[in-house]
Amino acid sequence: MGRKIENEISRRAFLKGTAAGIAFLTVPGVPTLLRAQQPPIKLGAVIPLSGNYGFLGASERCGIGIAVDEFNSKGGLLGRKIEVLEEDCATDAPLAIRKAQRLLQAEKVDFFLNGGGSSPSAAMADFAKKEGVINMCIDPNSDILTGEKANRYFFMIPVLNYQIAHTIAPYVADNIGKKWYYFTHDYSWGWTLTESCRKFMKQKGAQEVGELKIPLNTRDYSSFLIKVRGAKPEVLMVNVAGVDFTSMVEQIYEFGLHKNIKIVVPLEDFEDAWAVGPEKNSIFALMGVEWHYAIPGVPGIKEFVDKYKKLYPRAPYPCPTTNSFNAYTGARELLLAVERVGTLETLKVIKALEGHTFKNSLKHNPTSIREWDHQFVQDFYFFRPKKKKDMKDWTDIYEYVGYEKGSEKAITRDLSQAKMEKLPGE
Amino acid sequence: MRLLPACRPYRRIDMPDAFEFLSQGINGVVMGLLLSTIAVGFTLMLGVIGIINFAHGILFALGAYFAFTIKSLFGFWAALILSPIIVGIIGIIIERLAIKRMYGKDVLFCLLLTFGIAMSVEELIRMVWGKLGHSIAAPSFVSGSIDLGFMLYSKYRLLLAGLSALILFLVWLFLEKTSYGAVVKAGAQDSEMVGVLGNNINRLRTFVFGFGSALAGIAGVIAAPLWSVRPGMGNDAIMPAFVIVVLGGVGSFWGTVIGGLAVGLSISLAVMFLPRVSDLVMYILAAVVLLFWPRGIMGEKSLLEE
Repeated sequence: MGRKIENEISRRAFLKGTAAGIAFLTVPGVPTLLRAQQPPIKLGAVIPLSGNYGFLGASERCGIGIAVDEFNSKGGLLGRKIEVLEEDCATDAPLAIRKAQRLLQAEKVDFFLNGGGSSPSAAMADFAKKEGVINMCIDPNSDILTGEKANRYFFMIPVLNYQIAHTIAPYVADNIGKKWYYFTHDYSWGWTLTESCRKFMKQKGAQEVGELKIPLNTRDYSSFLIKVRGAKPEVLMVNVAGVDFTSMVEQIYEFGLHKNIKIVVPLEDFEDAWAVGPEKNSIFALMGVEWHYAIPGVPGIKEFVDKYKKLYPRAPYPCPTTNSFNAYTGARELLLAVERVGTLETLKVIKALEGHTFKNSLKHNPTSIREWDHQFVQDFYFFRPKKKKDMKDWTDIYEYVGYEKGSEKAITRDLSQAKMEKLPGE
Repeated sequence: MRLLPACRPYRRIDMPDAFEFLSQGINGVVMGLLLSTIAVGFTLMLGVIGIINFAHGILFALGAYFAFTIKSLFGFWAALILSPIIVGIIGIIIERLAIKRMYGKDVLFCLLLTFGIAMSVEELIRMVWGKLGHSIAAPSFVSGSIDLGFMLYSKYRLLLAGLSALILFLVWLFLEKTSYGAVVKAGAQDSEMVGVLGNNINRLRTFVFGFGSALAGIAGVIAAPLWSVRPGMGNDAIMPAFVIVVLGGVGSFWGTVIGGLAVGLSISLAVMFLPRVSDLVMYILAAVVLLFWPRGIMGEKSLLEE
């Protein structure tokens, strides 16, 4: 039967058909139409849009959006458009997994990005390994994420607590004060940050005069602040984050604690600073910050800020933040890895990411993706509050103090608990 | 016994523990007054109407959210007056439309109904004001701290303590010195008898629900600059309110004030010794009190025993 049909198509008809086909395909717009019919590449973004870290998601969706726009505006990736499917994890681990499960099964997403703090991210690390799907983690800083939770499918963009403490603690001991008191958020992120600070504090000969573990969702800090004042420290290290942090800053200001004690926040999100306003944010003697547009002398930052403002003129934050930066870096590097290997195959994309170094890191030094724990090794910065008269606008709140190289301050292999498994076929 | 002279500068104190104790005590009283203000409306509803109003927390949140909007337009004092009035009216509407259908039925029906109302209103808050929290600045004249001699203390918290004490005093004045207050008090003892004696029991219930809602609203207004506003903030109010009422005794005004102060002081003092249990301490306190006074410190027989 097949032979008969073949015989029925005359040479003339075949030539006519081929010519018509070529003509059709050369009509402007037709290839685009055909390409558009291909299914898009789907990124599942399980990010916090409510809960203690709800405000981070608003920044993260913009960062992911910029990276996706860079590809889609030049025709997509591998001839396909990129689509982002967003879910609110509400800063809640079981909910994050339920949402990720739905995205994977119902929407068949190709890759994941996740935020929402350490607990949802630890759950997402297990999820990525179990389901064999790549997950780029974009906002937490807990050491366990590239320590005991490290696996080949999970990549960690933000700087770890160990590196933050290694950068900030020696500077504080040398320049700000030697008698320290800790406020520790009572969950894994807070514990590991205080533990790391303590280690470097001791190395520098500074002394701990007390610690208060702050329960999650604490609203009233008055009793805690009175207790700190009683201990008479020189420095109060505030290892608290999210909505709890903004409430605390407001109450420290209200109680005038900063008039007698130097307040240091080893890691501050711009979103928090924005929420309390520049006046209350000026209580700090020093802030550790992963990224801000005020980093001087780094090419590409201005273009990134312009792109953000052009794409998101009505975003809740008028400038990109650490979290939009980390989300952008994670999404962009994932998509570039796909482009390099020319396929969506998980194992090939993992190998394209592992060990990769990129110069356009929007920081002073190139960023590397370490093979043995999947940590993005990047510089970490410290700032002090800018004086009101020097601010150009209310986003211009940071006065640059300095930075330390990620390659010199990040956790080393001998101290890390990371144990990577072999991939199928290795 | 060595007393703590308020005139001595706190920097020269040689007994930091005693001063910290005093500071925590004062702070506990301030917190207790706020908690009593939150709980007093709840106990009136429980005592007079006989309902466990789980929507009390969300009415507190509505008070804070209306304050957030009104303060940005007309300032703090306008928010302090208008916001409780709006919440009181919302309370009356809720009572007329929904709660009144539950009178005479099992108390659990009303508990479920108010729980549903609380969840619905919380979603409404998310739709209207967004999922994220907002901070509310204290009025500029009470911004920052004041030196009390032995400690620096928040000016706004002193204002809050004064306002809470004033609100509690006015409620007491109403209950004790007005004829309708006497009816409300009688309603807390025996609402059926109040009806038999010729009072309009339905109007009394509507009034108490509206009045209790307005009290929740005003507590929300004064708490907003302390705790910021968030859609889930009602939960910060309903649990302490419930514990305070159980602790102090259902329907008892003074029981609520004592319960509120006990909870405020216990949280404040727990931070001195066992900070990590500061969240739990009010529940532990309630459990211990109920072991010795099953009806609470000043309580009498109530619907909780039916």
